[in-house]
Amino acid sequence: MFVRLSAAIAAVSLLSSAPFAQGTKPTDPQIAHIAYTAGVIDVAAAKQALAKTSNKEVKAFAEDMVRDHEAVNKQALDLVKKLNVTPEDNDTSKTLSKNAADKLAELGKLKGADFDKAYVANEVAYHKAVDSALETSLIPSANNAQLKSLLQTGLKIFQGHEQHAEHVAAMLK
Amino acid sequence: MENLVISPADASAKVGDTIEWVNKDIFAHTATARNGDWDVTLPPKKSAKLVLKKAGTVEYYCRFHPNMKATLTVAP
Repeated sequence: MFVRLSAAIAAVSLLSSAPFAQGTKPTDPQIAHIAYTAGVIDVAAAKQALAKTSNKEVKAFAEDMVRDHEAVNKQALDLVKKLNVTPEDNDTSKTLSKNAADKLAELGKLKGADFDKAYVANEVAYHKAVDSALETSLIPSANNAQLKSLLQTGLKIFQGHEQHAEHVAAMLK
Repeated sequence: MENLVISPADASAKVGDTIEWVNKDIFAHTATARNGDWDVTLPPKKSAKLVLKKAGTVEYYCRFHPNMKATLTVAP
């Protein structure tokens, strides 16, 4: 029984690695990398949705994701260039990217309403997680004032995304 | 429009006036009348103008960021 139990636990922890681990404080170069990665991920997810969906609301939501995340990322790139900071890869970014790749593959197998519901549900969960990480870890840990300010702007926009996603999810029920 | 807020939230004008929205954000916004009268797109860091042709109170919002809301009262 013990062998089976630990196999089950191992299976659950492999399924969804928690990317935002509590523990060491991320540095500014790491924060920049995490924030940028989180944006790139959402743009990729949105592009998959735009290719697959025929639902007007989902399309509008996905277009918002592309537009807004690309705007924040452009600002982030301009800022790191100005500050002469090189974004630094880290475990959080790696886990985010791995989870996103898995999710893209999983969603890739779905079609029609099944895809729409799964995409939007994931967007709700994803934005909740990113917003929480911004609030509890990335923003408080940021040293540079301009980086902090950009993250705060990002948080405001992404909270709106979360609401929008919840609204679309309710409509798709 | 700045930091995802439209200000002033309430404004007044007269028929024939031109209203100009200034988007100071890095994000694109819209000024979209709920009654369907007008729908103005504001690219990041750009402005747009609209000539007010109808009297009445118009509630409007940003289609991309629906939390951004404002009201425009147009006198005849």
